[in-house]
Amino acid sequence: MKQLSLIVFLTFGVLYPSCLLAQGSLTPPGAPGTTMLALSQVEPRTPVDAIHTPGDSQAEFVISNSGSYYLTTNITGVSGKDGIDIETNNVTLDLNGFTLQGVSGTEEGIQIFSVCTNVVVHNGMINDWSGDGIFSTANNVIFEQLIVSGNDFGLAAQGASVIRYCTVSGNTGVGIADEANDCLILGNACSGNNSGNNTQNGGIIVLGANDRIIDNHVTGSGLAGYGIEIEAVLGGTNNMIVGNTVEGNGTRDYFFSTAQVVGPLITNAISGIITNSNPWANFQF
Amino acid sequence: MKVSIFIAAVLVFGLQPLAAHAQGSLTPSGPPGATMLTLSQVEPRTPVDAVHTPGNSTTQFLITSPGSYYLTTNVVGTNSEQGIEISANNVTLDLNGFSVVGPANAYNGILISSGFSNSVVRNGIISGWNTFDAGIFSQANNVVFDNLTVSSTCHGIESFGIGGVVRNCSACNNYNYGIYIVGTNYWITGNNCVGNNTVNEPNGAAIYISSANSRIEGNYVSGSGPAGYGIFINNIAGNTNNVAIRNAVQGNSANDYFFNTSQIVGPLITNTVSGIITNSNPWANFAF
Repeated sequence: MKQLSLIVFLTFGVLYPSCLLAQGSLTPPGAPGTTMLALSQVEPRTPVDAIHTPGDSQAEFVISNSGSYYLTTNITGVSGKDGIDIETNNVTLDLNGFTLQGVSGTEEGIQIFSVCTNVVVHNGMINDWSGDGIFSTANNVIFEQLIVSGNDFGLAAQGASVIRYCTVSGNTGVGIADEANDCLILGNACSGNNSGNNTQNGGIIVLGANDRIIDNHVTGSGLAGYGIEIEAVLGGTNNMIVGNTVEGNGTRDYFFSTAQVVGPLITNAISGIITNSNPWANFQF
Repeated sequence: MKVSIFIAAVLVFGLQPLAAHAQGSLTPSGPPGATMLTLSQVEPRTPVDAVHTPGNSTTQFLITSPGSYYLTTNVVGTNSEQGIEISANNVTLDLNGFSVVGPANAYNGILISSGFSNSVVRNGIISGWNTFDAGIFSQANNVVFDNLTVSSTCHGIESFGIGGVVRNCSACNNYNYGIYIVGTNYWITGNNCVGNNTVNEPNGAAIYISSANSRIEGNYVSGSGPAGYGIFINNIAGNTNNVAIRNAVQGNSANDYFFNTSQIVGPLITNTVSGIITNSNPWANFAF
């Protein structure tokens, strides 16, 4: 019988050698160390959604705490509401390449209230809102690398702002409406705005003072409208307008009230070859 | 004995078919391949927090090793401390859209210590630090400050080291200087400075240079306190060879610019001449 036991043991040992090896302790050596990152460290910013930025009766989403926010998907508007309201200081909103898509009966795509300072909105699209694409009454705001189309006004700023490298097109009213002092409007492409053909609207309308309107390209701003218009209705003087190109509104490509600082006009009526070497010139054609 | 042999034979030959039809080795051929990314590969940078960048008695967070760092939340300062101190070479700090916000009795928002070089700070907001200190105070060499909003501090960005870039920043509503450069060899370009020198210091300025060999180009300045200056190059020995071109300054009339001798300066175009610019010098500065 001993022989039998030995034979059975050896047989299993030959066929299943792993049975003879120790498996080690199943007890973990300790808690996970700091070599790993929490998901909140991989993406620490706050997503704009119903959980993190719940809306209210006025807006689909409300940002009421300072921080860095980003979209995780396109947002489709809700009738009677703004898309995103920003109601506090020190906010960065990265649209993350996504779109705020308005529908019939919506309000503003993004509204930033006057109590806010230090806000950045960048990197995405804001289309087809029944109100303005962006309506801001805040100060120290930067709008950068946005596409804004098919809204009432495209981008309306009533506080000191930087509007830089945006594409603003096909809005019913004004493409970029600057109703504040000390704004910088730089390097924007505005086309086909003022589709409502209002005589007071246009591609870029400035009502404030001490603004810089530099190196923008504006085309087709409604037959009755303006390409770039500087109006003094709010005391708008000392605005600097250089290096812009405007097309499609004939004699209304530009309108400047008095006391502005304006580069000379170069028009295609003179010659196809530019002979004016003034580096501050504005073009109309 | 015959029984034993029989049983052994049954065991051996009865189990053999299992071995004869092996399913392949259960030992993995190797570790999982590189088709997946670890979390540390997705975000290889180091978060600024109490675990990874613990502070000391004078700073809330302290960076002491070269690397790429980023914020995962707002930094809210505490009294008698800096917000973030960089004491290492070769550091990139991405504020990641977050804010570094100070209480009134704190020190600087971000301090970059002397003796180090090659730091980048970018992409965020710095606001509300001590009325005697700065949003960013740097003593290091070769620094880059890019796409920052700096407001409501004593000096927005204050830099003493040799070599740097201050680019596409908004320095607004600071108590004294918006951008204050004491080191040499800087490029200060594309910044937007509005409403600085809120305490109306006679020598306060939106952009204040007290050094040599810097390039101040394409900045936009409005309203630097009625008694202050828009862009000011301090008149002390050695502050020479700064290039100031294509800037636009408003709101300080005769004090829009102050340049001591031995600078390289574009001509001034003012709106007192005419509404239409006739000066065709491409390096002109605007005053209006």
